[in-house]
Amino acid sequence: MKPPILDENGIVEPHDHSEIFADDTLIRRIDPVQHIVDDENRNCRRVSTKAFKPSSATKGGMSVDIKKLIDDAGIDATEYVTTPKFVGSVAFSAGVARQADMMVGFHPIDENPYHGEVWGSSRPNRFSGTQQNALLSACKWFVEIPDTEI
Amino acid sequence: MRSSANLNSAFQKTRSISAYGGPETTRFPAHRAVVNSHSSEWCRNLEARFNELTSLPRGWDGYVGRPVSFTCAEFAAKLLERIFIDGVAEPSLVPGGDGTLQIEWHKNQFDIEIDVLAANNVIASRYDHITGREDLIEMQNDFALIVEWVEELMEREHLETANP
Repeated sequence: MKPPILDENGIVEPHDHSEIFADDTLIRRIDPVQHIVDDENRNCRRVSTKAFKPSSATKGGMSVDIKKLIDDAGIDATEYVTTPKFVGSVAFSAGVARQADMMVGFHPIDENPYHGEVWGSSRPNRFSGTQQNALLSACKWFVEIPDTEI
Repeated sequence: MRSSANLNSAFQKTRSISAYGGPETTRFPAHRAVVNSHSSEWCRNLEARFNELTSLPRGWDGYVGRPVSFTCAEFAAKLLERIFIDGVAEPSLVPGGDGTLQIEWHKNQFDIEIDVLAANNVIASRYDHITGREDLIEMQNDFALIVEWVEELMEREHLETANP
């Protein structure tokens, strides 16, 4: 996959990558302790919205794993996203994010060559409530956290 | 309220310094950055949680997440001190991988989320399940609206208690 463009400080420029297609699966890791809250309104434990927010850093996005890159490397995706520490994860398609006016880009890092990011289109490091709800509505468990709702 | 001698202050930071001036090393007393103790029931109940969040290991989120910054944690604690109302249970605290922290309640048909991005940089939202109303506001240093939200949370607590 074509590498992303970096700014003068080596920071990935928010972008929408043409080689990530609408039906490509993006995986978002969810910590089974830190990201889970009690919801008395829904009478359940569920994933906090904080898990679906981008980094507040300038040009910050929301980290994801690009499943097809993991698959192409011949690695089991379920095993990959639960290593080196076990976390749960949810999955949604790149198309869902783009329909919600977000950008889906490629951002390989030393720790994860299959790493991507989701950015807001108008403000890369901020998702609107509508955008967040779109992700939440579309997410399905990839590695389920028991007794936990999305 | 200052209590510099309070060794149980939340977010107490210590650091040991070793001197390498000869065949023996000497460890100097730890440098302490003791902050004001937090007196509300919420902060007392959340002290261990705050300490946990500021001590999260790098990569805790499965990516390159870092611990909640001391600045964010301290500001969040001060904010909780300001908006504390007796009779309302303490909120949940959820870390962001970028060192930020979200305060949230999901009860009495309200979802209140206070995203502390930095000192004096807060995004607060509230969804009312009964009316369907959603409020979203960016705040710097006037949190009167959040005080109102917590008061209304308490009012519904009383209503639900009176009418189970």
